[in-house]
Amino acid sequence: MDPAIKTSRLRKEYDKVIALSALDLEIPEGEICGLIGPNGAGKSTLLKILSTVIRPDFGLASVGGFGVETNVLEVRRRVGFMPDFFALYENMTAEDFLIYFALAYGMTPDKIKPRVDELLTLVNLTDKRNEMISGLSRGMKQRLVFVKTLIHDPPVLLLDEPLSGLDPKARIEMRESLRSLKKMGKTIIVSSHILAELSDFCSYVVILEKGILRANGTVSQILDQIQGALQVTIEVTNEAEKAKEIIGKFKNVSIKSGEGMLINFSLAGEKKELAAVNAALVSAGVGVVAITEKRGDIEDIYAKISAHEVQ
Amino acid sequence: MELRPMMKIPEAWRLLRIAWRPKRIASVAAVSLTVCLLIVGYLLLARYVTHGARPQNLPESLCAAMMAYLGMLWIIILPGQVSFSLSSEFAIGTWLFQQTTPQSVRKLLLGKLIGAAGDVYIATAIGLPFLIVGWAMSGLTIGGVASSCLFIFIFSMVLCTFTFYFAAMSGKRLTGSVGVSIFILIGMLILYAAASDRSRQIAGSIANLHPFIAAGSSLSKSVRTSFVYFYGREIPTILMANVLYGLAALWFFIAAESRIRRTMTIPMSRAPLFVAFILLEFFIIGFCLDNYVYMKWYEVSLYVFNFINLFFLYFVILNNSLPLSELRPWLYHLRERKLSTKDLFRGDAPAIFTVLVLLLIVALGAIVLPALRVDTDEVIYSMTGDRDHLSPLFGSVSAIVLIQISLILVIVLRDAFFFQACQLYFKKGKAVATVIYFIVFGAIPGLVAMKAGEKQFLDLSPVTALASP
Repeated sequence: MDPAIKTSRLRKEYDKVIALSALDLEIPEGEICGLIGPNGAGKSTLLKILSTVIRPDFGLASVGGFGVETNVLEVRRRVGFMPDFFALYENMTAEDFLIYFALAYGMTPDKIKPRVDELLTLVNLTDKRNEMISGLSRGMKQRLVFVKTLIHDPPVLLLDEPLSGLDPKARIEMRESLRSLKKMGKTIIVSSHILAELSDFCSYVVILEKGILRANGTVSQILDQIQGALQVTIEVTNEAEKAKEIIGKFKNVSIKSGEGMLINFSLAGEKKELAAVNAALVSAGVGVVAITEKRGDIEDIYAKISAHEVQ
Repeated sequence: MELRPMMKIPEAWRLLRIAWRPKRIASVAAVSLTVCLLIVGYLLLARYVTHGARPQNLPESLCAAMMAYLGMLWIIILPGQVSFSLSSEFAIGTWLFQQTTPQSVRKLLLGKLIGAAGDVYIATAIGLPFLIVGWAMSGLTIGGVASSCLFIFIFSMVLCTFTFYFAAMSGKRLTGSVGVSIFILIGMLILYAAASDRSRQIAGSIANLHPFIAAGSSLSKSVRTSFVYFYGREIPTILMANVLYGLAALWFFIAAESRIRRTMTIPMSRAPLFVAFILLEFFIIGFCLDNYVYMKWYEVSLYVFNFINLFFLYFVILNNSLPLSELRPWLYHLRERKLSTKDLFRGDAPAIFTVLVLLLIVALGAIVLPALRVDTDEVIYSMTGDRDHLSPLFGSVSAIVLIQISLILVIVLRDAFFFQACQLYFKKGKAVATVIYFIVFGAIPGLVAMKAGEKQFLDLSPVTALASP
């Protein structure tokens, strides 16, 4: 099966500034992929190439197996693109705006009305359907553009900073919408500077820096790669010093710190060794309250990678 | 207004939805009605003031005035609106959304042509009854009025498609693209006003192709019955004008489509553009062949033709060609980019196609003419003096002209390629690169030629300079 997105040696330059350099990337179907990187990393350029807005200088890129240069129209039918900066037809109503794009994507008039109703309801703009776009707030316009990307029901969504400009309530709703779209089997690529926003719903991460791919994979794959040993915290009820001594005797364990009744250590071996640690503590009369495995999140990944800890 | 039939052309639907809101329809209709009533009022007043001194046919005057009003709507206002509908998308940034939809560029442009005229349709609908009343009472033929309306429409399409092309070229420069149609119009009027009777006489039937003259004068019997020669045949002038402008409109439409497809990153063959280009060329050759007054016919034809070609070849071809970096990756150190032979041919199609056709004409001429043992000087002499000799010798003369023109085209095309290379080298804007190119390869050799004398002229153009010992 073709990956949803695939690039091979993708390169783009703007007046000698390299926006993307020999990018090899594969994003599987059905993932919500966080596209992360500082300003100028090449995130928007990648999304624009994948949505056929700009052409790569060389290399290949495909969406659902269709090349962005060789099958432009097929790619456009399969992609919904939401740019970071956009302008709208201010002298149209919100409803007409959606109808227009539905027509442009080749939908038949009888299917358009229910689809427009459904999407306006999704983003709570039903009562604004007959208002001119010029009269909508920034957040409303953002939501309108978001549903415009969904109008033709594309299997791949490319969203460039979709959460910027939204109030907290709208952000929560947008995140919920993205989760439900993932359940529907859509592949979603979301770029954002605000990593905390991506942490709770992205299952896949692509990190770009100066046009170079720093890392990509599922969050757990990358964490395993960058963290190596498992970070564990054990909370005991008594004899903390004795517990630290017992734990320290295990071959793959390295004690990091011990504050009060909390003992932090890293486990280089397999996770099932934790059971042996627990058994040893209990048999020595140490009361174990909790064993917590600390997993990093996207922020940790980005912090480590941008600090060049991982090549 | 739901405009359901328009939904097959989404862009037309969008623009008409905006234009045909009740309040806007009422405003446009009110303005148009006021103008029409003012025209009628003016004509009545003029009749009253000049009563007895200069008898007037009021209905005929009304008809002519309404024709002028419709001409203004379709020739001045519409091109501006059409151009704005495209260039405003570039300027505001909504073009980004158009770039992501799979609708064809042809449909998009057609939609803009149809939809941007929303206001003009309303104003025309208000003006038409006045025109019909004028026509019904004046005794003018329906054919004359209809052909004038058709001419106005076709010429409007020429300007609209040209402004499309200009807007596509201008990118974000909104004011330039909107102003171009007005600029062209004013230029045409000034040129015509400045032309002396003699120069009009020299231009002969070409002058009749001027839109206002043709549109206005087609109401009169003398012009309706006039004709021009086309490949030795008599063709009604007004028909010729309509066909010529229609072809030009089609050409600009295809050129604009080609250009916009490129900005929308949709690959395409440029072959249709060049088929249209060559068709237009043959049409112009046919027209130029027989229409002369004082100058030697072949000189007039070549001057007119070369002027047109300079524009097409130096300006249009270059701006519709793929960048050299794509066609010749090795020139740009892009060895890794894999383009198939088909892709390369598709990108090179205009150049290959045009060069092949032109060389074929030259080669055929070189073979056919000696075989026919035609004394070309004798042919030309007989042509300039005696039209009766035209028919039997016509085919050979056409071949000579075609060969001459083809040779010039090959030279200009050669320069066009080098211009493209210069542009790549200098990495400047097209205008700057054009200036640099013409200074280096045009002005300097010209000055050298003037100084050294014609026989000492050194052609510093790249190909011949390289080829010379």
